[in-house]
Amino acid sequence: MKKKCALFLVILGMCANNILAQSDNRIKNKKLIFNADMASGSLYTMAASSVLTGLVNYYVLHDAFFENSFMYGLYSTNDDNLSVMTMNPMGLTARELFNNLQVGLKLGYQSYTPNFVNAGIYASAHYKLEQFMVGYSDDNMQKHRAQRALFGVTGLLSLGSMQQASRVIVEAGLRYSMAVAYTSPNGDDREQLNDGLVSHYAIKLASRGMLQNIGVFADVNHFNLWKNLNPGRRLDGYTLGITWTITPQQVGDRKL
Amino acid sequence: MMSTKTMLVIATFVIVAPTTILADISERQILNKARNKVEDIYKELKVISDRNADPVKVSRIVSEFEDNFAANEVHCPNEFKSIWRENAGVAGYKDIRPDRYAFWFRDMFRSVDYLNCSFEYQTMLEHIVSDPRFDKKEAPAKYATVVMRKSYCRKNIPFAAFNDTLLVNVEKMQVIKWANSTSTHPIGYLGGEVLDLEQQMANAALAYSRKRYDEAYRIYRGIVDRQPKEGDPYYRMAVMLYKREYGRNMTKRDRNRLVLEYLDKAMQYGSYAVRGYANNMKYWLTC
Repeated sequence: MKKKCALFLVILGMCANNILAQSDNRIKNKKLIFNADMASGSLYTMAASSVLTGLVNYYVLHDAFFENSFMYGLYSTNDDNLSVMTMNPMGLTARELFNNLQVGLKLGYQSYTPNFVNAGIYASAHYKLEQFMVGYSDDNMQKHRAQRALFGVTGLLSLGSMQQASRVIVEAGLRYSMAVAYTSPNGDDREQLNDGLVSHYAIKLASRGMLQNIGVFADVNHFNLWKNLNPGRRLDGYTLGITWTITPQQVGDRKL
Repeated sequence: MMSTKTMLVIATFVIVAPTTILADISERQILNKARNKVEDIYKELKVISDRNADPVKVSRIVSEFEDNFAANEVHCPNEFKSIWRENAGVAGYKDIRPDRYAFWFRDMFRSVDYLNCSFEYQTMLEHIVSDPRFDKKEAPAKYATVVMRKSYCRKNIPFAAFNDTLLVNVEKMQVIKWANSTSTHPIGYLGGEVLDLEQQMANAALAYSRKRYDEAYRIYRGIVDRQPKEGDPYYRMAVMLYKREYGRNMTKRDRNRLVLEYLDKAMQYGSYAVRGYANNMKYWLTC
């Protein structure tokens, strides 16, 4: 039942974005990259934010300002007895609804010519909240909550001419992840966390139609998330996700 | 000892020079093939015009004449309506199919009043034409235009002469357009020649591929001034304006307004492909 409900909300969110969105008839400055992106580890939160941001894009901003993503954190340790679990993306408790949350801004420049290849670069700043369970047995899992700030630079390549209905966007970037706060059974000291580099990769298909600018991304941490409180113990993590950009489209002009 | 800089320059030259030379050779080969193709057609016409030629050979050439042309949309100029006086039947036709051209050409030189007539031709010029697209890689040399000067002579004195322009598809080596001053859809004059739409488009494309953007834009503008329901030039002009290849002194507001106006017209009047291109471009610019 929960799955059906989640699926319904996801589809509703995507439909609302695409059906309601329309463009005003003027050339926009696409060379400036200025977007907010919102990612969540909960399907419900993601669906709700899709609907909300779609409406804001259409009615308030008249542009595709907000991007949405669903992300899923994966963790591994070098301690075979220790298990780390990601929160349930279908859960309905407050902790599960906000189990992973990332909001941020992107600012940059891209070429936007009719040529087949266009390139761009943007700087990004994100706040990330991630929660996970750590324990030696399934009955004894303890909650951990980390808050981080990420700053970085990402380059993108857009492949596809303007005369085509679709284009492929490839992104690769590097972000510096700084610990802001950490809550764990060991205390609330943020010094439990390491800072380090995170590489970001994404590939998106931007096209006209219902599923526009949809893609996948991966953020890979290149450092031990835990500082050396327990000597030799490592917590490695990476994040996988799907992302889509809410792009108002010209419903009236779609047919040829 | 050579410095690193010198070695780099030499290496660059070694890599770039052959590429450039090969590109030129390739273009020259394409032109030669197109010119040879057109000259072969005129050689066949010369054979047909010869009353002493083998009748079997002439019949074969006439029956196979249409093979030199693309299957669709080929219209040959009906110059016979102005030179073949005694046959009133030809005057009722506008442009004609290649098989009819060869048939009438043979019959004219075998009619009584033309027994002392001959056919002469001369290659005037040829050039490669690329469609103006966005990227060099997207604009392969698709067409070559060959201009031929042909004369109908009586006792070696020309009594009628025409400048034929033939557009050759260099991939298939077939003529896709053949026009002269007697063609039925001339829309303007350029360099003293009566040109039809395809020839103007070809000239604009040639100017574009040689980066003579002002000239290309002027030709496209001239086409739509005469043929307001011709969609393709609107699309080309929209692209040139957006890429700032034309109208660099325009304000951004005026240029953007024109780009959208032309894209709308291209979507309204363009061919199926151009309607799609314009529609997509408008989407990406305004979404």
